[in-house]
Amino acid sequence: MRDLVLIVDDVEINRMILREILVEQYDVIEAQDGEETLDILFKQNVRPTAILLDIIMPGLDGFDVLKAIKTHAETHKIPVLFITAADSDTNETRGLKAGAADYVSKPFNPDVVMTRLGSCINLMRYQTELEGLVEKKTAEVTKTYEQTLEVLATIIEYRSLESGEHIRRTTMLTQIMVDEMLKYPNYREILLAQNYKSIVKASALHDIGKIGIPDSILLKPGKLTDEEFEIMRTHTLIGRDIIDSILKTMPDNAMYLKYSREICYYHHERWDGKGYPTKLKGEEIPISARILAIVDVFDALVNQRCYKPPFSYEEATSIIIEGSGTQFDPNLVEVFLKTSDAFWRLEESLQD
Amino acid sequence: MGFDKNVYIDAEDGAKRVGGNMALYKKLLTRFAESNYLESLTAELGSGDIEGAANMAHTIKGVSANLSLTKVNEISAALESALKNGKPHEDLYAELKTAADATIKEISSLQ
Repeated sequence: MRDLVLIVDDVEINRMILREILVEQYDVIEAQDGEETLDILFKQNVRPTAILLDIIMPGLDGFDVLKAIKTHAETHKIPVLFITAADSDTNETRGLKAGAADYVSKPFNPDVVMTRLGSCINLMRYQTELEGLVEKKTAEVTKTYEQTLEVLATIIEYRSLESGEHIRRTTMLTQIMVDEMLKYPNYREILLAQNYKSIVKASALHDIGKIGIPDSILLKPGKLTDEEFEIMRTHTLIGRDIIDSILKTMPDNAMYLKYSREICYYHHERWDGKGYPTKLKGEEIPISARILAIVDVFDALVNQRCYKPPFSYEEATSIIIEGSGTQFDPNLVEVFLKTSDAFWRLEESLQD
Repeated sequence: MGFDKNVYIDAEDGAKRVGGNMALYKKLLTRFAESNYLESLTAELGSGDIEGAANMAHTIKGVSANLSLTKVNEISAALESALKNGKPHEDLYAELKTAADATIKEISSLQ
């Protein structure tokens, strides 16, 4: 398929000469001013491979048109070559600074026009190809990281003898909460600013610190003594320390690990400041950890643990409601109640 | 072709620009002869629209360069510069008018 080149010049004779120069190798369309150019690009949604653009035109001039092309996501990669008069150095410099790929001067030299146009198109293709490669590589790295998280999560599961599904459910419940939160403008803003997808993935590591808790405590049936409970609580600090050491070896994944760290460290904090380990309260607690607090408790309630039988959906929900404003962020409890049906469906389908 | 003795048109150079397509080149010359660039320029100067006149001189400069209308190109470039720099332009305008008339006459003699 031949590439399409858009020629923009208010003088028909100039367009005809350019057309004659280009037509052997390219398909050509023409616009006679800035308005028509914008119409072709943004109303008719024609996507030329490259644009030859005159600077001095009545109405919108070349700079106005270039700006519009460069600020629209669908057109900003299209190489634009300015058409200039041989003496106007200032326009050439200004054009290149404004994002023009190159320029061709009147009188046109056919070889120069074809060579410069060809180079600009090749460069654009090369750049697009490189961007694609970078994207692919980034996706691979992210995948590797996610697999690392999964391996870590599997180790936690094995060690703590909590159900094989607890971590998967936690991640999915976090996803349900985040999806619901995105419907509210105030949360949406916070989540979009925070790379919320990372929060969901990071939630899998919330109990990684349990690796450091002795079996006698971790697996003890029935209630823990105060002293044992004190040790149990250190899983938040151990988790934080583990993430900190991972951060040293995987600094490229700082974004994900930042949330993993918050979640490990703070998911047992309480809204009223009576949680552990730091007694943060209210919105001092990172939002990721406030979400996890609800998700983690709900999942623990409705599933069996070595220290307790499973609770019913109604019992678990009423416990969460009771904790609103004391243990849990009351606003997030509201969000949870909106989604609790989805929570329950997930729990039923992924019972231990 | 009878282009050899032309004073205002470098036809050999101009035809090269369109791949030696002499028929197309002649067609483009006719377009120029039929255009109203000079009338627009005259009107803009008459109404004191110096910026518009400078832009029109710029347009004429570009077209004439592309068509290898050597004399018109040279004078329109000087006129554009004079207009942009606030220099006297009356003589250059008169010169351009004369050259354009002569060029158009030369174009019609090619037919």
